[in-house]
Amino acid sequence: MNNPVDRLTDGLDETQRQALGDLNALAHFLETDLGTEPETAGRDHLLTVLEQYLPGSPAIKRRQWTNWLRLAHSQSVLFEKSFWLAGLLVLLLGLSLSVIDGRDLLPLVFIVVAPLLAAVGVAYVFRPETRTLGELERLTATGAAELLYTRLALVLAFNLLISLLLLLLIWLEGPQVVLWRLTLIWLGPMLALTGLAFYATIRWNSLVGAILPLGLWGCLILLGWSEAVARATEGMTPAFWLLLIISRSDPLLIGASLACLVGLGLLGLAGRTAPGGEKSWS
Amino acid sequence: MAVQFGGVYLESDEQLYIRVRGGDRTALAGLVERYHGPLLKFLSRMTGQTQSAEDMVQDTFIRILTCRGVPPEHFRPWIYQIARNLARDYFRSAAFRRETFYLPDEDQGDDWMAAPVETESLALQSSDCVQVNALLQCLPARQREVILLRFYQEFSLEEISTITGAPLGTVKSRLFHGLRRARMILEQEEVGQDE
Repeated sequence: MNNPVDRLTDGLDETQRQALGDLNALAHFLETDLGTEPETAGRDHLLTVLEQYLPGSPAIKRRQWTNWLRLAHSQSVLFEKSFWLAGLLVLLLGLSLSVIDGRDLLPLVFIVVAPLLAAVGVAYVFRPETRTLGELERLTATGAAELLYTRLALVLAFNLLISLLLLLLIWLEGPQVVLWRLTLIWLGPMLALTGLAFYATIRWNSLVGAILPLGLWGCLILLGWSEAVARATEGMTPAFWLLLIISRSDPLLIGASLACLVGLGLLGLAGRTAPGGEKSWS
Repeated sequence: MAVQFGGVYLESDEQLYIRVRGGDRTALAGLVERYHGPLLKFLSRMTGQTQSAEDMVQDTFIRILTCRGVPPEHFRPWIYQIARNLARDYFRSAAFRRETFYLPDEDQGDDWMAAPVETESLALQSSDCVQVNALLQCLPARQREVILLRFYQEFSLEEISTITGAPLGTVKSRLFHGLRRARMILEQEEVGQDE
């Protein structure tokens, strides 16, 4: 297509072309600009820089760990005080319960609250305000999925730390709970709810990402509570009943394992759903 | 698919890119040879800043090198889409806002648009190249990018729709309004010079 006017108007409707009138002067004027030709030295420099990013480049391998750490540090600014305080509050609650009635109530609170904390934490750090990231970040080659997983890893690491401290408290109280069973029964819902919150937030928005896991977990708690109330007639407190099923129920263990897998699947799916650029996190 | 050029079969961009993802330096040099100049011209015209454009070209290449997703079916529109997104981010950046008067693009319900340069400044420019640049900077970025992709890069309107993420009708509308505005500015400029 050599005609400069055609190069301007090709694809426009006939009425639009007519409305534009004679564009010869404009087309020839635009043609006078040959553009900025890159210098050979500039191209050589560009190639030298780019070679460091080639797959298999030793420079890439050396950069990886430090890059992840820098990325994690850059993302940590998105977490405001309220996030850290919420986690510490749960820890404080665990501590007080362990002082008051650690044997029975602490595992109950741990199972009920820890997954919620993780799910709400995910919805919180992916809230709309954090979509617009820093200026530097926009101009780096960091992929959207890398940013998503780094932020997620920070949330999970914080929640894991709090949960492990709570587990330690439970272990110190020394009830008849097998720790690995309790850990698995906690990890399943936590991963499933986190995965659901993560996927729903990326797929839709942080409101859905908060409501969906909270709703689901609320339903499960209500179902469990009605069962616990029914057991109350047999003389068992809800906390004692929970300890009993943690210690003895194999279907619960299988359910928790499946929840782990579902959670991991949702986390992977969310990474693939990460948008590419137009309305993306990067 | 290989491309025939002067009786010699050249590798297509897509084939080169697949080799680049395998770590082939020669293929990378080939892609840089093909796209460095055109991308630099596109981004210079888009931003009106050669130095910023150089940086964005480098970032564009880094992005395609660090991309972990499925290789694109059509490489050329894809690399321009990345470059265009970087230009969009540049217009949103604090550095740009500091340097220019910033206006939200109310018509499109979005917030990125290079501030149109006052038409009077066209007359202050001397060489043709600078004059064209000044004219382009008078246009809103969304109209400017469509004109650049159509006229200089010779993308079809359907491809421009893919690159910009705007519906075809919107692309046509931006091209139409951009051309009408550019023509009006040029005519005003010519009348000014005659007087």
